This record gives sequence, C-alpha cells and structure tokens, in this order.
Amino acid sequence: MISIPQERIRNFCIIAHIDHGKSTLADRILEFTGAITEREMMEQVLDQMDLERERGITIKLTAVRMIYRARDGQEYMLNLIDTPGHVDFTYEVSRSLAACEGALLVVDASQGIEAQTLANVYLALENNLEIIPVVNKIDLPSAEPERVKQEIEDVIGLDSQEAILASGKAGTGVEDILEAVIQKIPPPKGDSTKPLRALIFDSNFNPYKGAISYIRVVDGQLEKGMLIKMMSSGLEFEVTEVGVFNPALKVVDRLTAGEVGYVAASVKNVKDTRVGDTIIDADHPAAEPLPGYREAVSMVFCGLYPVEASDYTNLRDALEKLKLNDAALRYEPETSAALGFGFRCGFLGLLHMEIVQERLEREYGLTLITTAPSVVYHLIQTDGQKISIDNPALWPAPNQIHQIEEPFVKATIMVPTEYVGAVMELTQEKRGIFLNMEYLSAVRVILTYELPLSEIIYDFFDQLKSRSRGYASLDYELVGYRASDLEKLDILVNGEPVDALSFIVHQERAQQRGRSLVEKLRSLIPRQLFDVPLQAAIGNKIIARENIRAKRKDVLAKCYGGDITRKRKLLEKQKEGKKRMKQVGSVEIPQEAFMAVLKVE
Amino acid sequence: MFPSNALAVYVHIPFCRQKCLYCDFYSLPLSSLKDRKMGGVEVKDYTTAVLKELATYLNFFHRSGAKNLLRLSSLYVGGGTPTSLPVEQLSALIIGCLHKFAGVKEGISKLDNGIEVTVEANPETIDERYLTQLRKSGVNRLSLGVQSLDEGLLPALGRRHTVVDSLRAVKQARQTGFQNINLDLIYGLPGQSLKSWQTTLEGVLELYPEHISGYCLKIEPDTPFYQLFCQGALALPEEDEEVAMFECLVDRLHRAGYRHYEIANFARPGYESVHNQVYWKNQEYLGLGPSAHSCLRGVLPSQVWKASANRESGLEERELRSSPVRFANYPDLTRYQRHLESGHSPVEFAEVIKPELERAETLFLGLRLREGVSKSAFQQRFGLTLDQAYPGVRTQLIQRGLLQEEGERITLTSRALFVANEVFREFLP
Repeated sequence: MISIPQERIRNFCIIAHIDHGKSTLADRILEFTGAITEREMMEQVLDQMDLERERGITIKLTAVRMIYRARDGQEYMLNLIDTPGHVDFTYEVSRSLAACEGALLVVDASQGIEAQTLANVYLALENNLEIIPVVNKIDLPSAEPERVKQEIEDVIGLDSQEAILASGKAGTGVEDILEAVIQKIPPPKGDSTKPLRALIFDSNFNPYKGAISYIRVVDGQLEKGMLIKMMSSGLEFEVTEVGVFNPALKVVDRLTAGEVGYVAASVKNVKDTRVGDTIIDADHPAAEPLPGYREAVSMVFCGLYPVEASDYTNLRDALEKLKLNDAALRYEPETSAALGFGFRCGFLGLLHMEIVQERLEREYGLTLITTAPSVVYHLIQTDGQKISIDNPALWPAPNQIHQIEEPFVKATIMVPTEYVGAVMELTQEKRGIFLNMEYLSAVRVILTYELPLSEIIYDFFDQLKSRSRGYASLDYELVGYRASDLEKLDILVNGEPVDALSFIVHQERAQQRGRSLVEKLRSLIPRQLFDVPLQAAIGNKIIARENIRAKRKDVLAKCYGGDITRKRKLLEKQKEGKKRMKQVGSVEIPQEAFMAVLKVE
Repeated sequence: MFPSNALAVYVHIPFCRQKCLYCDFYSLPLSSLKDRKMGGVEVKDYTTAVLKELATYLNFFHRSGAKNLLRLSSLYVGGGTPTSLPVEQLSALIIGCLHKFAGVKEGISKLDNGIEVTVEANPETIDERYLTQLRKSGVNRLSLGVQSLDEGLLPALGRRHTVVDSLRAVKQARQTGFQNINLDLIYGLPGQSLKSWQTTLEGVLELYPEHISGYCLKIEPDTPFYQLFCQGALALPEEDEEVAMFECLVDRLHRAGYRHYEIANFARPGYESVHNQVYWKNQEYLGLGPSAHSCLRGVLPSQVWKASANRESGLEERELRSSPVRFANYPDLTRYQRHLESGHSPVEFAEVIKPELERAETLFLGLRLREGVSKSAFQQRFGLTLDQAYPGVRTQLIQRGLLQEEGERITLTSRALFVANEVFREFLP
C-alpha cells in the first residue's frame, strides 16, 4: 500500500441519531473513495452483524480506511470509525471519539437534532474534536434544511453557514463532505519517532488470529515481530500481524503515528487486550500511558435462564463467547427456585439487554427465559450493614431494612412544544423531579428531569415515544443514589411464590402494579387442566388476586383422512409452543410472562 | 369377512347446492358447472375423470403385484354433497367404481354381505326414487347431514333443509331398504342452548339410527362463520356449555344403548363405521377427486410422487417403499381434470411419513377410539415398545389422570376426552 505522510491522515467518526441516515451516508463515502466497489457493496457495510442490519442500528463499532484523492490533487488517508447512536452505547461512543480528531454531525433535515445526538456532540467537544455539521436527507419532501441549520447554530453553537447539505440515498454532498474532512479536521498530532504508544479502542476475538486489538497509533510505529507490552497488565506479546480495515482485515507492513488499524499477537484471551489500555514497545517502553476510558457501567440487570435445564452449559459457553466481543457484558451464575440454574447478567441498558438475548437465541440456538430487568439498589440493613442488590429475589425481609436507595438519572428530553404537556404528565407519573425547561426554538423544547433509573428501564421510553407520536428523544446519565420508599412485590402462581417474577416497586405504586401484573399474567399464562390462582403479595399480605380457569376443551374437531396431516401440524405447533415454556411446579409459564412486569401500567 | 388389507376408497364429490356457512371442505356450487362450460366441466366429465384416476391406481397395483389392493373393503362417497348430483350420474359413478374391483363384478346385490358402501346426503336432496336408485347401485349405508332438529337453528347455518325434510328422509331411507343409517349432528351452534341440544338428541333417538356422529362446531378460517366470529357477531355458547353438551351427548346415547367408539362417533353394536376406522387405525386408503387425500405404503406410483408439486426432495426409492406416503390432489376441479385428461397425476402434495411420525399418528388417531391402542400391536408395528418410543410419557399421562390401561391397551380416560390434544401432543417427535 502507498505510504501517506502523517499530515495527510484524517481520523473521524460520525455522530447521528438512529434513523438519521448515518449508515447509508457511510456507504456512499466508502463507494465514493473506492474503498469497496459497488459490486461488493452490501447495504450498510459498516453494520456487519445480522442483527444490526435488521434493526438498522449500529451496536459494535467498526472502522474502515479509505484513500481519497482530493481536489488539491493529493492523496489522503481517511479512517472512519463508526459509532453507535443509541443511548445504551454511550460508552462505546466515547471510545471511538478518543481515536479521532474530528466528527461529522449528521442531522436529518426533517427531524432536527435529537437528545442523544446532542449528548454525543458534547462528548465530542469535550474531546476537542472538530465538528462538521451535515444536514442529511435533503431529498425528502419534508426536509427543512434551513430550520435544521438554525437549530444546529442555536443549540450547539456551531456556525452552520458551512453545514453541508447531503443525501445518502441520492449520493449528493459526498464529495463536499470529504473535502471538509481534509480541510477542517486537523491531522493527527503524534510523533512517529517517539517510542510506541497505541490506544486500544476495541477488541475482537478471531478464531485464527486470537484476540485482535483495534488501535489508534498515537506515537511511534508498530510492525510484525515487535515485542509489545500491555501497559496496565505488563503482559508481553510478539506481534504476528498488523493491518487495516478495508473494511475487511487487510495486512500491512506497519502502522505509524496517527494511523488506525489492528494488531494481532497470539493473545488467547480478549481480557488481555483491555479496551482503553495503552500498547507500548517492550524494548523501548514509553513512560506515560495514554488517557484511558471510564469503565463501562452495567445499569440494568436481569436473570437469563435456559428453558431446558440441560442447556445451562451451552448458555455459559455462549455468554463466554459473546463476552469476548462485548466488554460491557457482565454475568455471573445464579440460582432461582423457580427457574433453576442460570446467570445474572449486567447490561449498559435495555437495548443492550435485548440484543444480547437475541444473539444468544439466534446465534447459539438457545431458548431462554429472561427475567424482568432490575437496577442496583443500595440498602442499609438494621444491623448497619450496607448491601447492593441487583436481584429482587435476594431482597431482605422488610424488618431487616433500615434504608433503601435507588439510582437516579438526569434525563434530557427534546420534544416539540405541543407535546410538552404530555411528556410532563409522563415524567410526573414516573416520579420525575423537574429541573429545567429550555426553548430550542419556537417549536422545540429541552426538558431536564431527574428520574429513578428503574422507571426508565420499565416502559418510559416506549411511553415517551407513544405520547409524543415518536417525536421526543431521550438521553440520560446516572447522577447518583437517592433514598426511596420501595418494597418487594411477590407473585404466587398456584399458591407458590415464583422468585423470578418478584420485583421492586415504589410503595405508592405497589397496589396498582400488583393488580395489573396479575391481570396481565392471567392473559399470558395458558390455561392448564386445573384452576390456577395468581396472587400478588407484599410480605404476607395479598394485594391482588386473579384466577386462570381450567381448560375444559381442546379437541372437538372431526378427524378423517383429509384432516390427519393438518391435525398433526397443529399438534406440532402446540408442542413447539410448549417448548418455549418453563414448568414451574405443575404450571407451565411462557417466556413472555417473566417480562410481563414491563408491559403493565 | 373381507381381508383387512383390502382397499378403502374415498370419492370426493366437490359439488353442493349451497355452501354451509361453517364448512371449509372443497366444493363448488352446482350452478357453477353450467356456467363454466368454457372449461369443459360437466358432471359426466367429472365421473369420467374419477374413474380414470381409479383405473390408473388399480393398473399400478396390478403391475406391482399388490393383489390385496385390487379388492375393496369399503367405499365412502363424501363431499360436498354427493346427492346434489342427479341420481343417474351418482349411480353411474358408484357402479363404475365398484365394477373395477375383483369379486364385485358378480353382483352388486352381494355387497351387503361384506363391503360397506356409504353415501353422504343432505335431507332436501333425496326422495324415494333417489334412494331406491342408490340402493340398486350397491349403497348400503347412508350418512345424513341432519345437524339439528331445532328448526330455528338451521337457516343460520346455511342449511337448506327443514326438520321435516330430515324426518322424511330417514323414513324414506328405511322404506327403500337402508338398514345402516348415520345421522350427523352439530352442537355448540350460535344461539343453541343445552335444552335445544337435548331436544335434538331425543328426536334423533326416536329415529333409532344405527350410527350417530356428534361434532362440536369449530370455526375454520376461510369460512363466512370465521368472518362473523372475528366481527364478534357469532353468539357461541360458553366453553362450559359446550362441555355440558358433549357430556349430555355421551351420557344420553350410552343410556340408549349406543357404543361411544370414537371421540365424536356412536354406534349400535356392530354398526361402527368400517371405512372411518381405517383412518383412526392409521391404515391405508385411497382418495379420488379434487382435494382427496390418500395414504399408501410401498406401492406409491413413482410418477405420482414425482409429479407432486409440493414434496420433500432427496428421498431415496427405498424410503418411498418402506414408509407410508400421504398425498393429496389439487383442491381445484379444473386443475384436477386438466391433469387427468392430459395423462398427468393430479397429486399436488405428498409427504413421506417417517417412522417417528407414523408412530405419533398411530397414537393420536388410535387414542381417538375408545378401545385405544394395543401395546403389543404397537410393538409389532414399530419394532419397539411404547415406553421405548416415548420414555416416561405413558406413566406421566397416567399420573395426570389422562390415560389409563385396560388390559394391554391404553385408552383415554373420560376426563381426557375433551382435552385429548394434551395427550396427543406428547407423542409427537
């Protein structure tokens, strides 16, 4: 590959809200620079995971190197590092930002800036990134580029005069974007003559090459055969391969200061290529590590259990493998009286949780029960002992609890003015504390609230979307723990408490949640051959009760020669449905029932 | 007695005067035949096509040495409404079928000694002349779609007959020499009360039929009833009410001396349906006409297999020989006839019933019979015991009170009758 001097390298990322067209625009940029030919072009090349392509979102960040011949006649090396747009993945965003000098801020010309975009822009500004505003989807009939430009100026304070108008779909504005990248974004600073310092911004497990570190070389050079050292652990490895993202892995001779690429060094465990760590030359070690990252914090916890007990080891192996590529995933074994052996898992947020669950089912063929998500509560017991609890089943008896604290977040909600009333009503219902309201323009408002995280992970986001007809957007960050009046609500099925259905609820909501949950469960649990009472209880007190009536008939149809195949298929389908149920005592409970608590209000 | 492995034949007559609102069987309004002269479809042509289809199979059985299949054990003419055809046509079809079988040619009158020949009829379509002609053609069992003796309920079902029609039809059938009559009844109808059902049962018992089928109404997709149901416009009885109707049926007919021999079927001793038992015992049968299903073992004409549009690929000849194959004709009169006329197979769909499926079917069909399934017969048929095939299942079902053992047979408990799918499911692979 041609060698390009450091002053002609540009490292950048794209900040955009979900659906604002980031992936399509990235695809056009790749096409334009010839990083991939049109024939190789699968839609959304950067989103390689099936799930990403289906949901149209980016989960893991990916990087790609492009060579661009600019209007000045010179060739530039551009490294585009993809960033996830969802609030759950703020942690991953901060990682990619640290490897860049600039960012494209892509805003949908008919939607305007959204709360998460704003949060990511602030993150980029903190990292001293040069920001290039791009107004995308200008080909849509509903596009209002002037309004959006004004918003960019008012809200972020960027000069939007130079904002680029683009359409990923139509391919317009791509060259302007690339020119802006080389003119406005500074080249990387590092010094290739200094001892090696490279920042690991992601890692990945490859069955042939071992753990692969995605790196940004800050100082020095990196090449095959070198002995490198992980600064935090002191572990040393011999480099077997360096390369770049093309977007597939492509071997190169060396990576020098300013470049983005990967390094493989027969590292057996992804743990040893810790994201945020600094790689140095073992023979000429640099003294100072690069600034790393804050640790990913698990905010949401749930239990994952195999429907078939015999799948436990398969689940463990699958989690282990997923963990290789997902540093933010936490898990440890736990046991439930109702569900048997499983794992308590920690996630960045609800979407992260759903994605892990879906990947386990899809890529590893497991059938799982997911229990309702929980946050981490801080409890002070009457004996003065402080404990943290992420599993309602482990909640102590009320008389042993002195005080309970739950995590609160600061939530930023951007919403058109006409929905302010509806959003305020919602935050009120969710125990929100009003902090501030700021007009972005005559038609849009930023609301700031403090809210219990537990309310956010229930149905807050769905409610917010439905009450604002999809126009509101949300971002939040953890601000600390506050004392709350909470209690544990137990569910009894057929007279037996089912620990996996217990949840923590605010005292004022207990009665109502209990009632709507048993109602919901009544509709979700199929009728058995006997009556099944359902009860909600706090301590020994039953606060709600429902009854699932026994099934009395399920075979009535005639069955002659022409009915046999059809009849068998019906039975097969029923049997398949049963496989997705968990036998708890003598009652079969379907998967969805364990998440039912999320669906009531 | 005839040999048990002689052939059971079903002929589908895909015509009705008017389609009932709950019915999802394949049939056409008879008037459409005349309207569709363009397609060349006439009743006479239909008869020709069915006889040609039968002849093709018999030729094949003959060539492959399956001698037993050249003899007939039962003929069942269903629909649709077979008796919506002019009697001359229907007779010609029946006689044509019967004459193709060995041992029948000598005389149709001898049929009564061994071969069950059933025709389904709607009360308003038959009279004395019609019935006399059917008897002469060898028909010895009449299955009448009476459905209900509550006058108020019939029109809402889309039935064109009255209660008087039903009573008259039974009387005329007796007069013309039918000594084996089945009456089809439906309960769980919109607006039906338990009392109405009891009245129907009493009325039916006065007619003293040899056989009674009692079906609970099931709302099938692609029927007018389904649409009404979705709109909430069908006032169906509550589940408890339906169960009460079933229990009333079982109890009343038992007291009247009928044997409850299949979930929905009752007969005076010795009058159990020969033809239908073939299905429940998971034996072989040949179906003729559009939408008709067949199940044959080891003698499936390979062109039938190859011609079927919808079949698994990659099966070896050997598998085709050793496993039963279930197959079905196009559920479309024009396509069915076109295929036959041009010398092609009218089979649209075929599936090889692999051993684990055959086991499952044998059990979920066999357990529909009150006599249940013989454990030794199961072992003989499949080379492994029930418990080997389904470890733990028998015991579990017995413990749950759904299955019981009577000597060396397993049968459903009376409690399990109405929730039999709970049992059947357990035997699927």
